[in-house]
Amino acid sequence: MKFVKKPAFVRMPGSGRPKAPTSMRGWVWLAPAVVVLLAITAWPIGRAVWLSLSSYSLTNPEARTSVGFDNYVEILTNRTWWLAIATSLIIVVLVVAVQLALGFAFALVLRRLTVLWPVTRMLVLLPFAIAAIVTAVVWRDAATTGFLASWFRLDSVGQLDQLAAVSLGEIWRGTGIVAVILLAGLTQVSGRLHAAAVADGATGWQRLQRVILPVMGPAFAVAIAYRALDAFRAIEGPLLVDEPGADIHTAPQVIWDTTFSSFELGLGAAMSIVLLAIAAVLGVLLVQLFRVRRVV
Amino acid sequence: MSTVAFVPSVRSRLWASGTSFALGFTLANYGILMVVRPDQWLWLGAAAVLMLTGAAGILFADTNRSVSFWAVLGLEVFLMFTLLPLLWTFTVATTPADLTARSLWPNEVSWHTFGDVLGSSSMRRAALTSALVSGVATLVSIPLAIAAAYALVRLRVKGGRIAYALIIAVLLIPLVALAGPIADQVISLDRFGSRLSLIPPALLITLPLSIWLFVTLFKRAPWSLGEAVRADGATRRQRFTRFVVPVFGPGILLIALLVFVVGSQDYVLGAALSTTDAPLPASLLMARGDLDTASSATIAAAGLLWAALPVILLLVVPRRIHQLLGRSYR
Repeated sequence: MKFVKKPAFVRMPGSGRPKAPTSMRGWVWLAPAVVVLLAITAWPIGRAVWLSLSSYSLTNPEARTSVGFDNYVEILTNRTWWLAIATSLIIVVLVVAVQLALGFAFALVLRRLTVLWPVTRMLVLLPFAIAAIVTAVVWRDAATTGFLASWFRLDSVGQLDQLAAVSLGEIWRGTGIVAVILLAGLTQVSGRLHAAAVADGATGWQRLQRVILPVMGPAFAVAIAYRALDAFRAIEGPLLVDEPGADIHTAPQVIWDTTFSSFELGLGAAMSIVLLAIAAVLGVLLVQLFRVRRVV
Repeated sequence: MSTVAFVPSVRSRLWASGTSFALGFTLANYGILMVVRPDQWLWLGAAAVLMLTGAAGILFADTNRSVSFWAVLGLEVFLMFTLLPLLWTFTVATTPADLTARSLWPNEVSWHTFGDVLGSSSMRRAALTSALVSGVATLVSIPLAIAAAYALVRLRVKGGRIAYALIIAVLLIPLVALAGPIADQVISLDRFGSRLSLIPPALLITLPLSIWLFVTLFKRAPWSLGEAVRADGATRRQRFTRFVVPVFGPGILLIALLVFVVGSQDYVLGAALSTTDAPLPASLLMARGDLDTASSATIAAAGLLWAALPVILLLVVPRRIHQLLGRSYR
C-alpha cells in the first residue's frame, strides 16, 4: 500500500467546509487591542476579587480585615440580594419581550413602506440619540406628575410604578435599534421565495412562519442577546427612582448603593463578582439557546 | 431593498380596517371621557387618523393597489410611539421654572432653560469633560480597533474566536460591577477626581464598540478592489490614496463619531469616578454649581442639546448608520 500524504486542503468526509490554515502572524495586529482590553477588564476584576475577600469600608480604610469568603456567604444567603437579581431578570424579560414585539412589527412596517424610508430610517433611531439618564428622568416625571399621571389618573405613584415608568423609557429608547437589526434580517428574506409563497397561496401567518422567521433567526438571536444583556446592566433608571425604604431594587442598583452610598467596598466587590458571574451565565445561556453565531 | 409588490387579500385589509377603527374608536371615547385639554386634542387627532385609516381600508379593500393597511396602521403606531415621548421631553424642557409639566402638549413654551443650560459654566465644564474624556478614549481606540478588526476579518488568526468572544464580553459587561474596584484603584493612586483618571475606564466603552463596528465595516468592504489595485502595480502610497482613503475614510469617520457619542453618554463610570469634574450625564443628577437645582427641565434641555451631534449624524448619513448598526451581526 502506498502512503500518500494528503494536501492540507483536501476535504475529509464529514469534516465540514475546508478550513484555510490559521496562523499566529495576525496577532501582531490583534495583540495591542486585546492587551489593552485585558488590562482594563482583568485589572478591575482582579481587584474586585481581592477586595471581596476583606471587610473594607471606604469611611474607615484602616480597619480593613481579611474575612475570607464571609462576604460571599453574606450575599448568597441574603434575601434582598436574590430579590434584586429576580427583579433585574423580570425587568430584562419584560423589556426584551416588548422590544422584540414592537421592533419586529416596526421592522415589517418599515420594510413594507419603502416610500417613506428616508424619513422613517431617521425617526427609528432618534430615541437612541438621547442619553439614558435623560430618558429616565422624563419618563419618571411622566408617571409622577406628567402626562401619564393625568391621562390615566394615577394618584399614588410608588417606587414600583416609577420603576415601571423608567423601564418603559428604556423600552422606548431601545426599540429602534431592535427594529434596525431585525430590518437588516428582513432584507435577507429572498423576494423570490416570498413571491413564490404568495403564489402558492400561503397565508400571511404561514409566510411569517415558513419563509420569514427561518431566515431571520440570526437577527433575532443577536437582538435578544444584545438587548437582554443591555437591559440587565441598566442602572440610570433604577438609581433615579430609588427612595429610602423602597423594597424593590435591581441588582446593579444594590451594588451601586453598597459601594458608593454605604462605602462597603468589600461587600460591593463580592456583589460585583456574583453579578459578573450571573451576567456571564446569562450570556452563555443566550448564545447557546438562540445559537447566536457571528462568525469571524 | 426589493420588495415584491403584491396585493393583500380583501380579508386581510378588512381585518386591518376593523382593528384601526376599533382602536381609534376606543381612543376617542377614552379621550373625550378622561383626558383634559390640551391633550384631548391629541387623543382626538390620533383617533381621527386611526378611524380614517379604517374607513380608507374598507374603501380600498377590493382594489388592486398594493398598499397594506396593516402596514399603514403599524406606521401610525410607530410614529406615535417615537414622536410623542420626544414631544414630552421637549415639553419638560420648555416648561417655565415655576410650573410643572402636566400635559403632553406644551402649555407655555419658555426657551429660558435652554439659555440657562448653554450659559451655565458648570454645564459647559461638564460638557467639556465629557468631550475630552470620550474624545481621547475614541482617538486611542480607533487605531487599536482598526488593527484588531483587520486581523479578525482578513487574517485567519489562531485563537481569533476567543479574542472576539472577549471583545463581545467587554462590550456587554455590566460596568457597574467594575466601577467600585476602579474607583478604589484611582483613590489609592491618589488621582480621584482628575479628568485624566476617567480616560482609561472610558476605553471599556469605546474600545470594544469600535472593534465591533470596524469588524462590520471591514466585512462589507470591497477587498478585491484592493487586491486589484495591488495587482495593477500601485505603490504603497497610491494604494493608500486611491483605495484605503476613499473606501474606508467615511466609514472610519462615522465610526469614530458614533463611538464618541456612545462614550459621552455614559453615566456609571462618570458618576463613580468623579465629584467635581464629572462628565455631563453624571453631573446632570448632581445638583451643584450655578444651576443649583438639577430640575427636570434642565436635564431634559441638556439632554436635547447633547443629542444634537447624533441627530445631525442621523440627518446626514442615515443609510451608513443603518448598515453599521443593523448588519453588524453578519
